[in-house]
Amino acid sequence: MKWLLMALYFAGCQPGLNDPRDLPALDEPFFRCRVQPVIAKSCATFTCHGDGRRFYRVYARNRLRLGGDETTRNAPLSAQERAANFESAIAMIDPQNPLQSFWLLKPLELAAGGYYHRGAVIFNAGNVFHDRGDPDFQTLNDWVNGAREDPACVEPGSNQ
Amino acid sequence: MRLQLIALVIAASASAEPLASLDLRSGVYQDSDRTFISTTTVAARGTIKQRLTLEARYLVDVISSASVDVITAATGTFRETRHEVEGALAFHDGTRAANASYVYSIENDWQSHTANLGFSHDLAQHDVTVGAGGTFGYNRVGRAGDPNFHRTLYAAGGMVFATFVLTRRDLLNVSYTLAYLSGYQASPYRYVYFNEASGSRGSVPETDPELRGRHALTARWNHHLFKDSALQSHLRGYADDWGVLSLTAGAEYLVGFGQFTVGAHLRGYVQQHAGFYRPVYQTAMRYMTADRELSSFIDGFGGVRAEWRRAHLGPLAELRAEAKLDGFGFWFFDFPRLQSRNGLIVELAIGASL
Repeated sequence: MKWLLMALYFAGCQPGLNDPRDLPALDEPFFRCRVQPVIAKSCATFTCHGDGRRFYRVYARNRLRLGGDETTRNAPLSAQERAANFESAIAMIDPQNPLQSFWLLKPLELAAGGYYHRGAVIFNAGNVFHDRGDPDFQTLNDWVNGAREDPACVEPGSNQ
Repeated sequence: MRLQLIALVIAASASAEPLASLDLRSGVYQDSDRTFISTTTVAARGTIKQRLTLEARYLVDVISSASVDVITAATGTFRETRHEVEGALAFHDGTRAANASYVYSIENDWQSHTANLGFSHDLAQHDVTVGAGGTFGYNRVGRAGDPNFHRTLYAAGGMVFATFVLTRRDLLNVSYTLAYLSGYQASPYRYVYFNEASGSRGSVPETDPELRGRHALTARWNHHLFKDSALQSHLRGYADDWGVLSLTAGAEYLVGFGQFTVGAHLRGYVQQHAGFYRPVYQTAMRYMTADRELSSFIDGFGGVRAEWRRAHLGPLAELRAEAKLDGFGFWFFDFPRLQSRNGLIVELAIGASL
């Protein structure tokens, strides 16, 4: 039985099961200077993705921080926090179908084509973006669509 | 993965069929991972022509769970109901049997249509039965509360089997099952942690391969013992192209006491995890899962059942009842969120034939 199982296993095991994730080549400067302010404003409150227990979490000034204490909670984001926010966001983008990613569509109202977002229910105040014309949604959409920014751009509120 | 996707309905050997029968079965499941399931099934069968029977079945599952699989910082207990209906047509002439069925299942985030076909033929003066079956399923996968999330999953499979009457006391059945799945096989509710290059902890929605080929080889041996008892045993080996390997072994000892049959059974299962499964992902991978069913684990089930059958009772050809009690335990070797779970399953059934 063991040999039969092994034969079946080796005959049919599909390739690529342990390949690294093919992360989309999205622009870090655009994220840092344009997207980060949006998610800090709209997603990073303590009851939302500023809660360290969440699968997707966002570091922001006066919100969740990676280390430090209350005296440094309002300090500009560290390079490690900026990198973590960028990596967390990019990991949530579906490499095969970026514009259908949870990261982009969960904060969008269902009527506008968004996905169910519990945050829109528990606060009973609608979703983060009511329609696709919202300028902040456009910023996220542009980033996922490959928009680029000058690498020398300065993130608002940063110590750059 | 939902077992009904690969369930095959294979025509059974011909036997004397009642004119009509009705069966009701109800069961409850409770485990230590805060999951409760209540299942009720009603099945009716009628002989519409001498060799043709029609069967209809309805099943309802009510599930409430706060399992580690479903709870997050934002989501606690969930409760949902699944409805399933099946219609089947069976033919048998004493030597050949055929069966066709259709199953429709719906719950708040899943809808499936499954068609099954089966055929069997007795050979060598009924000492050998060979058969084959096939199934095809279309599943529409959704996400609770989400009208915009749609994924599809197709499942196709086939099975061949042979049953041998080895001696007056021994019956052996050997079967091979192949199932092929194509489409969305992850859970839209599960996220998987990994270590980011920045040193922070990231997460990604669960991502499984879109294709999966599954193979199973099963042997069943029924051995008659003493005056009125039997040992029914089975051994099943399973392998798939995700790298999952498993072995199942089980046995039930049944003893008849006139109208009563009582039995005790044991079943054990051991599984090696899928090739892309990791308890902790050190980096983001193409496929990432937090599904404990893809981890390495063993489980064991043990229980007893008692059945009562009374023939020719008033207008009834038969009246029957069954009670079953099972205890089980799962032990996960590389699933950090849960090391073990155990629980109980209780089932009661009653049925009558005209």
